Amino acid sequence: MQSLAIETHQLSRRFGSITAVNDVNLAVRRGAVYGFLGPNGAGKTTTIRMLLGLIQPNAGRICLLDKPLRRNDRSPLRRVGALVEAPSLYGHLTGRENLEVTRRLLGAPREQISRVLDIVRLQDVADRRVSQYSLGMKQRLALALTLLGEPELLILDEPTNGLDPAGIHEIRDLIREFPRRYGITVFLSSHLLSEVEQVADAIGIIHRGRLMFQGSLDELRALREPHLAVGVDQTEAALGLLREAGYVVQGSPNGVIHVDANNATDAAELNRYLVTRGVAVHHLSLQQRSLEDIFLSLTGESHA
Amino acid sequence: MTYFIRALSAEILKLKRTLALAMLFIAPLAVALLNLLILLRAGQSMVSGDDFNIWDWLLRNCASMWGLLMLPLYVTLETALVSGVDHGSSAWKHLYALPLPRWSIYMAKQVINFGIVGLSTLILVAGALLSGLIVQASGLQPAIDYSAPVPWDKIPSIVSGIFFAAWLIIAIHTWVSMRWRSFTVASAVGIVATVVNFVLLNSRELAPYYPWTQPVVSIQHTLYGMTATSVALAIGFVGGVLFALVACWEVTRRDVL
Repeated sequence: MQSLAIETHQLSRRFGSITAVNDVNLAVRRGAVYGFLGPNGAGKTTTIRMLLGLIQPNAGRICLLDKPLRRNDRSPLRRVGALVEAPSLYGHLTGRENLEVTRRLLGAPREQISRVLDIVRLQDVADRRVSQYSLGMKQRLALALTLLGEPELLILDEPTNGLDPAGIHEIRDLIREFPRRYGITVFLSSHLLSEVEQVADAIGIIHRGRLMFQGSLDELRALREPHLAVGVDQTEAALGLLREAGYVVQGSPNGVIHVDANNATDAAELNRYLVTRGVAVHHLSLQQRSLEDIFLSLTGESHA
Repeated sequence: MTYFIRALSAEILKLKRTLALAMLFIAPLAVALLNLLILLRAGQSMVSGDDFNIWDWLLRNCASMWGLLMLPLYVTLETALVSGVDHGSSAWKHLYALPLPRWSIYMAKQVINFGIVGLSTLILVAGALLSGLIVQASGLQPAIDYSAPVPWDKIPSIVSGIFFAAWLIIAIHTWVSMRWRSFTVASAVGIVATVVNFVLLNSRELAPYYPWTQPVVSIQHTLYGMTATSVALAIGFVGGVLFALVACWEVTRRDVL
């Protein structure tokens, strides 16, 4: 069996009558960048807080780097670096002093401080107070904090939240480097697919506490069934004819009929079929849903 | 134990450039300064008795004022400031996600708070003696006998009495300040409890049993009697240790949201 960096088994947590996380089985391969996606309030942060032992699950098991995490045994966290939501930094201390606080707590060697400052490229401003840092610098420093203990696994909750495009780019570049250069597995959450799509090899989508999808980006892409968009002069007649011929009609918003189809041959056939029966076709195109559409349909359908 | 030492050294670094650290000096020196002003203004009228010893007077006055009024409010403020460093930077989730047992982080805070109060009580004694020297050097109160002996033998019992009897208050306030992010909760507890001080202080039966009066009772042998003094000291100290242990257990079991 392949070694997993994070494995949860039927992880659940309730808050009062609300089930924030419901039977979640995560499987994060070592060396991967795993994007944990879901809209706000889907259960991402609750899951992450359980992975870090910050809150206790009502049911289920957690294994980090093949070791079980229990209330009284937090030793698996030794090889885990974590950044949960807004960075936890002391504004009255300098960047270096902030690192020193965590270094002392971890009992890590002193050399670690300059190593992690190099990685996040903050050497130049390390002796300035953090209250004077930009948001992007703070986020990089927070990332440096997570690296102090030489982790094998990084758990990052919305690491690019609130950053400007340049800041997002910097963090994304850093995250991309981690598995390649340092052999670190990265588990990161986001509410935006577009943000994760460019760095992640694997995706988990959580919605209303349930894991709706887990797999590679390619597997997610495979969910995009193509379809034909058909524009005709007589929508009702065309709908009747298509259904008669056994086509699966997805709907006809704004007079454009969406039909399940796989390729150009299907398109040509459908065109000929309609035209020979007296329906004029003025638009015909093969369309694919974007990943964003799939994400939205996975997380949105249950709203309807 | 290693974990605790690590957490403690991290706590000390966190205090750098904080108001909490400044208050460690400001609060006791303010009490000493107040007594210096009293002495400068009323010095003449205090010399009446033959047995007036300026050093003894300064020590007792500073200690009582500190124990009764300043200490309870100071503990309120100081514990709130010390925990506020972490509340303000939302550091708990970071600290508690580190591979350290959570008790070590709580206990480091607790010990820092004990240490701060201990140090400021020592500074209070130094400030008391210093204000006497300042009055002497000013030459404004020539009638005072500055050659009276400094009661060095009383200093250890005054300092340790106030300090150890205050452990229960410090433990209560450490818990309140860790548990509630809001400064208002800590202030409310501290202010209400201190006001009650003035009522209970006059009751010889109750004063030794009320945490906020214990520090002052513990140094007033003549007023309350030896038994009451020992009871106040014992409850303050043992109660402080027990309260800290239970509070630590309570806080470390909570979800960190």
